[in-house]
Amino acid sequence: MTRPSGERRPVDIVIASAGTGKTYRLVEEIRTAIASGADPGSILATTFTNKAAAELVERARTRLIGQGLADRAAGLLSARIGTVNSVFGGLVGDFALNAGRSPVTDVIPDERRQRVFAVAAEAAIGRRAAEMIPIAQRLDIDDWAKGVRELADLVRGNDIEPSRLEAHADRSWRGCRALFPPLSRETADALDAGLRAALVHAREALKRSADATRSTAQVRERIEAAAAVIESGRDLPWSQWAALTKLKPAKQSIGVVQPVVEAAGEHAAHPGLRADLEAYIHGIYGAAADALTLYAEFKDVHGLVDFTDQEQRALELLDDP
Amino acid sequence: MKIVFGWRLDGPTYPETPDGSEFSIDAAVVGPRGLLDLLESRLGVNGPGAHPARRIAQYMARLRAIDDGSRFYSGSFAADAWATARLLLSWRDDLAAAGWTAGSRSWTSGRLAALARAETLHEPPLAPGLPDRARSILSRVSEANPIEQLTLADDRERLPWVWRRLIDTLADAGARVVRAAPEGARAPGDLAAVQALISGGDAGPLTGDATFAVVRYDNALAGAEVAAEWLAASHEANSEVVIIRQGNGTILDAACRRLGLPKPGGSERSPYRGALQALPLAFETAWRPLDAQRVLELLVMPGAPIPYRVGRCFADVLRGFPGIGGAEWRAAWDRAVDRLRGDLIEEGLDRAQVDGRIRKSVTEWREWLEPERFGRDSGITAKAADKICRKVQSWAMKRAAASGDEIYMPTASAASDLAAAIADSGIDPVSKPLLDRMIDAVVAEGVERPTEVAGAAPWTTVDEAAQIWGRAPAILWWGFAAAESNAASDPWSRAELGELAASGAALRSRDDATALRLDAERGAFLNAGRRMLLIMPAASRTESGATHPVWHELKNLDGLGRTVIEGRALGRGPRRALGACAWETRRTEHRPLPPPIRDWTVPETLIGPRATDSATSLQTLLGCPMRWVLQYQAGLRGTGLLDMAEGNRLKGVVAHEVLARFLAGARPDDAAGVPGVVEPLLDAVAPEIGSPLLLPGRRLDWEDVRRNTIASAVALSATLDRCGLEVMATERELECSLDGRTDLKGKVDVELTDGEGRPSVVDLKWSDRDRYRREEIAEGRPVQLAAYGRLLKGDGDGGLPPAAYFMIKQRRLLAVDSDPFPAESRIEGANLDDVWQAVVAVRKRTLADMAAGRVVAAGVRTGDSESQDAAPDAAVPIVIEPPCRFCEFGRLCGQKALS
Repeated sequence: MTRPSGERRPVDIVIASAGTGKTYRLVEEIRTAIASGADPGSILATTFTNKAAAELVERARTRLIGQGLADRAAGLLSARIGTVNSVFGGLVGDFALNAGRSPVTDVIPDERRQRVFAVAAEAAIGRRAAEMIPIAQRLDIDDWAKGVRELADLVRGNDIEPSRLEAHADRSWRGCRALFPPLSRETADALDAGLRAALVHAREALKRSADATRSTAQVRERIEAAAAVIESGRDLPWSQWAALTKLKPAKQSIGVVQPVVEAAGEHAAHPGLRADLEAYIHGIYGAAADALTLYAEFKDVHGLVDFTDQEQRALELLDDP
Repeated sequence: MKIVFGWRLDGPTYPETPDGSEFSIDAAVVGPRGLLDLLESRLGVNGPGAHPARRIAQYMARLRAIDDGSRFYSGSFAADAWATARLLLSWRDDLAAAGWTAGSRSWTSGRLAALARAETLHEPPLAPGLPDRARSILSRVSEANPIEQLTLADDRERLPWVWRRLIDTLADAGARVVRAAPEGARAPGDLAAVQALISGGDAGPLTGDATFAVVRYDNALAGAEVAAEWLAASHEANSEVVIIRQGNGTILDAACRRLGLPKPGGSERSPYRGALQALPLAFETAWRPLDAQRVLELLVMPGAPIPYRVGRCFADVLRGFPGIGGAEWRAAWDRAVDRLRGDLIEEGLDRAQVDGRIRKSVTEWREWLEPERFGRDSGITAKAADKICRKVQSWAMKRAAASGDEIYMPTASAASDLAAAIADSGIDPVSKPLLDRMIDAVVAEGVERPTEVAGAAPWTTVDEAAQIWGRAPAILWWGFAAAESNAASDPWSRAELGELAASGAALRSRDDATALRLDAERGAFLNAGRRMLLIMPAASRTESGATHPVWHELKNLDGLGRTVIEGRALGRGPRRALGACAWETRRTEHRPLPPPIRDWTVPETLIGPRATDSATSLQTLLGCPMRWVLQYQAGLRGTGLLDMAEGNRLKGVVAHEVLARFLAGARPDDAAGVPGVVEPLLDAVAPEIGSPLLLPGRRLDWEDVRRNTIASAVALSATLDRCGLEVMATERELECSLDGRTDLKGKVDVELTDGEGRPSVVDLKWSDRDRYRREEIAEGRPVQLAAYGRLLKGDGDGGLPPAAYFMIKQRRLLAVDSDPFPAESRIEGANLDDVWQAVVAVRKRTLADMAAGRVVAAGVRTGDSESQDAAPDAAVPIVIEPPCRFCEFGRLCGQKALS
């Protein structure tokens, strides 16, 4: 404990380990303030838990009653003593009309908040679905929407303006691009056609081959699967390109498979991969920004607030009393 | 007439009559609402006031009428008109209770000026609230006072002005007004000391004699157990016990039930009770796009508007094909009408009567199932909303009359109040958020859970301590904690309070309200006659997050620790004691769950072949005979009344239907034309059988279906052209004989024929991966393909026609035979004729087992099962994995208990 109570400054900080009397000290502060004429109803105290708030009120009131100050103790029941959220929520509710906001300040329970946010996020995600689905499929990302939700959560938690996300996306993409080798001199179509031709050639050659080793059988299966994807009109995911560079047939079939390995090896320099990554990063950041904007609109329309809003609004009120 | 009046005595009270007897004539215990109802009915003036929701709507209309955009509430009103009106109406009612006269002067405060302006409007109307009713009855009371004695349970000075005026007027008109004073001082031991402290006197140290005891618990279940045991131990004649059921009533009910005691019945009133849901559901089903889940809820709710016997025709379709207007839906209508017709004919009605009843019912059902629908963003017209309210009201009144169940009456009132509130608000159309608010407001009071109404018991129950206004021999306070967290602070500034005071309005402060409540709760302590037990949650477990204010007073008692017992200290051992008060507890023996059973024995010949089997039922029979018996022979259904097709199943239903219609129609010559044909089909099919995909927030899923369906239509069309295959039929129902006793029936997705007229079959599948189907073929067990091949073959000669799956998401065929399908689609490993022969053989053997009284639950793998050692049986030509993952009967055979 730093100093005995009684002497009050604009800001006092008490640092002490558990069980050394911090609550006792606060109780004393409250008691002294009331004894020296402060209106008990005008006291504001915040704690981190309901339990601590209850304990604070209990001890302060018990002391006042013990000293025969029952009326003053009764006044303490109207004081703003509670968790940060309950005190801020009370403030925001009391001044809602001044701020031109809905008087409903019930915080959306976390479970419902998740649902409301999910609806907003899904709407934002849906808007970009047509553009993002094929990219995500090529990048072999099963749940790209999850990326949007997680990013939006982080943005909210760190109080970042959604409008700044585009700049973040640019920066993220620049960082990503720096990791790649120079672009191929071939066009995307030429590289795709090269791989397709190599796959079809290898597939036919392996069908005729007498190589019955297990390793070559596995390679043949991989090549057939990749060729089937391309022949069904779908794009071969980039992870498959990468996997094709690692084919290891038996020695006798290396010559047949090598063109596939080489054609697939071009993926890092492929303009398509570069374009996909850039669009993906911008898409995720853009959808997150949209999700946050829609979430805010939805809350406004339905008169909902969450903890972050509550704190922000209370701080705005305190900034401009 | 003798009256006891207390601020919180509307509702249950103790004593229940002014003289404490069981019945009374010309006497009553009442709160503000009760007193007004009583005076108004005695004096022959207007009856009870309007529903609060209606008054909010009316006040909202007034606030709108005077809102010029610069009122103090304008911003909030624009953001949330309903909540703003509700708040300002509460301010206005407080002012009315304080004797405020709006037109008495011009107000300096902008807020008071605005409220005064709203108050002095003649139109729109505002139904009187409690303070208005109290004010308007003053003059009548002074002319004809029906009350002889008025006993006040509260301090008159703490009451709002209008109630003080009413009391004074009654006194002036001849009523004898007295204050109910707790007798006190007659209590023994520690309880006397507690009462002395609360009365402000000197209290000696507590001894722990159990006249006063506190049990503090961290876990509500443990706390309820102590309360129930205390009641069961019958240390008092329970007829003298008053239970304050402030804590979670459901938990206390359960604890009492376990000990064979009647339920104290403290379940909270809830707006979520079945019957009350009809109103919100009726509106939820009136939006576009349709939320089919809500229609399903409406169909299966208790006492549903459409009798369940016919309602299930619709419910069954919605579960599999969520939407309205498709072929399945139309078939459901036919089935429902047939069912009703059958019932009516059985009742002995003649044809004209039957037709008339059917016409009437169909009109009614259509109103519920296919009402006029409105866009979620555009709002519903006031006229349509009124129609829905009338519909719900009429249904609830009929149900109430037919069933005698009171639970329907609150629904009828809520519907009528909502209709009135919408009309009063003057808003047209009503936006969805506003309508939701209004519905919440009219159903807010809720109803008790019917199963948790208090049982007949020797004791008396009240909901809060302030309802005990007279002597109670023994009190059990369940959930002793602060009832509510700090209320909002006074809205008025000092200047406004000064202005109000100058006008003669005496506004009561929040402190007065707090003190009124606290005094009444102290009264419960003072009224305890012989014994008092407080069951107290730890602070962190209370809803308000605070201990009871009286507890803060008690903490100054010397020796309080002797009366407080921590719940966990009571939880051990067979004997429990609260001071001198002790009881024994019973130990319940642990009993293990019955082990799962693999080999079930049934009476021989009980289970024979069915008249009809399908590809799916055959697959089930081969995978798990027990499931086949439960599902198809016993006709059991899972409990998932509200389980609707979702996820891949839903997407598959839509994609499947769209592709079938696409293939059945004229296909464009080149791939570029395919999307132009498929897109309109998607738009037509989705509302009919996939409406959840169109709801807000589902666009990603919808895009998934749209994209994959179009791409697969392009791919499949190209493949068929390349292979020279022509579509003969889609979704055609086929039938053939399995063994003379059973027919095989099924719908074949796509029937094809090649240039030489040879048939083949394609089954459409939606799945994230095609691995399962590939393995199925490679491992020689494509039962469904074999069954479809068999259906298509019919009575013809030769082998089964070629068959393939078309994997929609993967846009590729997986074929058992390469001809006529492309070579790269062939998966080696199966021969369709062999598969079919194996299916027939295993089916025969399994049916023989059943006829001999043996049914195997194939998913149960117990260590000691004999048959377990026998499997896998090399002689079984085809082995299908037990379908336990998607089985609803796992708890019957025990398989789920194992996992």
